[in-house]
Amino acid sequence: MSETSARDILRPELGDFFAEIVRNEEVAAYVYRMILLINDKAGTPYPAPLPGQFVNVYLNDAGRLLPRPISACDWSNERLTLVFGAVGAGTRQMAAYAEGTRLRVGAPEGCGFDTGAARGMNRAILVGGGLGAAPLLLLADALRGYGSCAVRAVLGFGSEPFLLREFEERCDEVFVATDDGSAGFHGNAADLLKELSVSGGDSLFACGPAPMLRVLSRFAGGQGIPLQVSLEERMGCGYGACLGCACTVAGAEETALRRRVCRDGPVFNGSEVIWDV
Amino acid sequence: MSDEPYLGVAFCGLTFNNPVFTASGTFSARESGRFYDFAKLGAVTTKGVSARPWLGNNTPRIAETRSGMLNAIGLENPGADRFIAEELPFIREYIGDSGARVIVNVAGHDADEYREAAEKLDGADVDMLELNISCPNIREGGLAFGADPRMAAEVTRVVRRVARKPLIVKLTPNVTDITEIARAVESEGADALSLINTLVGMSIDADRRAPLLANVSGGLSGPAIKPVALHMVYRTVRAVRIPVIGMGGIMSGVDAAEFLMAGASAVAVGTASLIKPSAPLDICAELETFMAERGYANVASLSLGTN
Ligand SMILES: Cc1cc2nc3c(=O)[nH]c(=O)nc-3n(C[C@H](O)[C@H](O)[C@H](O)COP(=O)(O)OP(=O)(O)OC[C@H]3O[C@@H](n4cnc5c(N)ncnc54)[C@H](O)[C@@H]3O)c2cc1C
Ligand SMILES: Cc1cc2nc3c(=O)[nH]c(=O)nc-3n(C[C@H](O)[C@H](O)[C@H](O)COP(=O)(O)O)c2cc1C
Ligand code: FES
Repeated sequence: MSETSARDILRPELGDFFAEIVRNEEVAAYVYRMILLINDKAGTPYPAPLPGQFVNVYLNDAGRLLPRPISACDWSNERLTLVFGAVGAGTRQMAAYAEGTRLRVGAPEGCGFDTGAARGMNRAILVGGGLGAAPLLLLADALRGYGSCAVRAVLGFGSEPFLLREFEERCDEVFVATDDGSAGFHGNAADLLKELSVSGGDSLFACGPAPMLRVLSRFAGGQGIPLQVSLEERMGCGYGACLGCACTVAGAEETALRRRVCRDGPVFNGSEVIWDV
Repeated sequence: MSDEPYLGVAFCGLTFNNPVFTASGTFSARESGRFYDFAKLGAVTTKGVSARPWLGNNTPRIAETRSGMLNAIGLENPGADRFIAEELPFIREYIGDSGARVIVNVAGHDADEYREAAEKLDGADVDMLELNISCPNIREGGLAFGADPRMAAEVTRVVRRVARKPLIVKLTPNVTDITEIARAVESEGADALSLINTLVGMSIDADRRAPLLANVSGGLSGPAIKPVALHMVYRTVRAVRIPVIGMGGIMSGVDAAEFLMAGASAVAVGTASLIKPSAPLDICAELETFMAERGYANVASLSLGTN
């Protein structure tokens, strides 16, 4: 049994919070930045999200019940910034919410990036594909405090970049790629990363579409460079109870093991993920 | 308004602090326990446990549907040995002497596997076994047993022989006449029934022109299925003598009251707890408020009566 007693896990302050949308604006085609002011709950302030953690957003819609997991993109003064794509019915609804709308949100969930992995490294390279850039901003913020470690962002977009100014403020270097070549490098973030080359002493942190993460994990493995990836999966509960969000990792003796993206992740070591299940 | 209502119930030789339980597969002691004090529930029901570990299905395992959801987890679980060594002591330590009961949901691919799992789990520190012969998400076992009166009776008989603890059999709604299955398992010694499990369905991703779930089909749960569940509980209660635990789309205290009115001895909350982690306890509090406001002194007084 664990060192903490069973009763120690009870933390009702983790329950739902109510948030007010103080800003909701389109920052690129179909990409929205929503700023939430989150109310204290019975005197308990909303916990500050760690880089790579996500928030369960519940819609004001009795027909669409499941939480939408959205990464914490930025945080200051009780204000949580989410950057999301209006890709389906639920996120389109979120895009349409007026300022002043109240939403139910969960406390930050999941195991985020291990920023300690950048300690003693020469350089942290953050690789974002599309909306995968969102969680990397809070990560850049945290890594900035690591003194000697330089932070480079390599960001790929479909056509229209977003969050660039925010990344430029927080990173030593920012490189941009677009699929259509309209800005920066013509190609995706993984191609650009290879172009820029990496070296020992680098540490990679990535979020984006699964095919990109798979390519990166092969690349990082080949170069012997540590890589952390933030995964996506369709969720039921978003807090670890339903086993809906399984991913597969390598266990001892070539066994495959299931992990929960929402609770054991969403961040995993690139080397442990089995991509072709 | 008179005195506070009394929420305690008793059946199968056990007492329960209240008639609100968790539904199998939607509760995890370590995770749900972060959000609410589950020792205050009448009982907690675990995820399905099989004799050996199962990896479950590939993803996507979840699809949202109008006022409901489909799941095709495929009964991923660590197996009975690890459940008994790691999960059960944690649940027991948490609930202490609160009086909350522990029901373990039992899974298998064939009668032998059900027997083996039931044997191990019956010997462990659980209060009741819930035989899951109604999971739509595994290729063999599960639904195959629950949809056929002869096979349902057979697996109940096999498990009954090794189980000393009270045995609940969990029924599927994917049948022509649920009361026929209910009577078949009652005659083989089931002590109680749970219903309903999920309704088989599917989603198609029109953008990708492909089934959304990796398993193609999944089990529908949530408010969308409540009228079906309520009617099946209502009919089954009137067809058997053993107690019925009612579930399917319960989202509020009033929903819970409706199942108790239909004649259920207790209710279980599933999908609601995925949408609001503390739902089972919130629903219990709402039920108490409902009963107090309407002057129901106890749970039995909610029932419509069976004649
Ligand atoms: C840990 C994590 C962090 C995420 N962070 C962000 C972010 O910062 N910004 C952002 O734009 N997107 C993010 N996503 C993806 C985002 O959750 C989906 O785009 C969103 O749920 C789609 O909802 P919808 O209602 O528009 O789509 P619909 O297709 O209408 O949704 C139906 C159901 O499927 C689920 N779903 C659909 N697509 C996805 C997906 N790609 N991943 C997970 N669930 C999905 C929905 O949550 C919902 O339950 C994240 C996903 C995960 C798992
Ligand atoms: C994610 C999920 C997992 C489930 N797993 C199990 C299970 O392991 N065993 C079982 O008997 N029922 C399982 N069920 C069925 C529920 O226990 C319940 O019977 C059904 O969902 C209807 O209730 P609800 O509408 O309140 O969810 C599961 C349901 C869901 C949504
Ligand atoms: S979504 Fe329920 S366990 Fe991860």
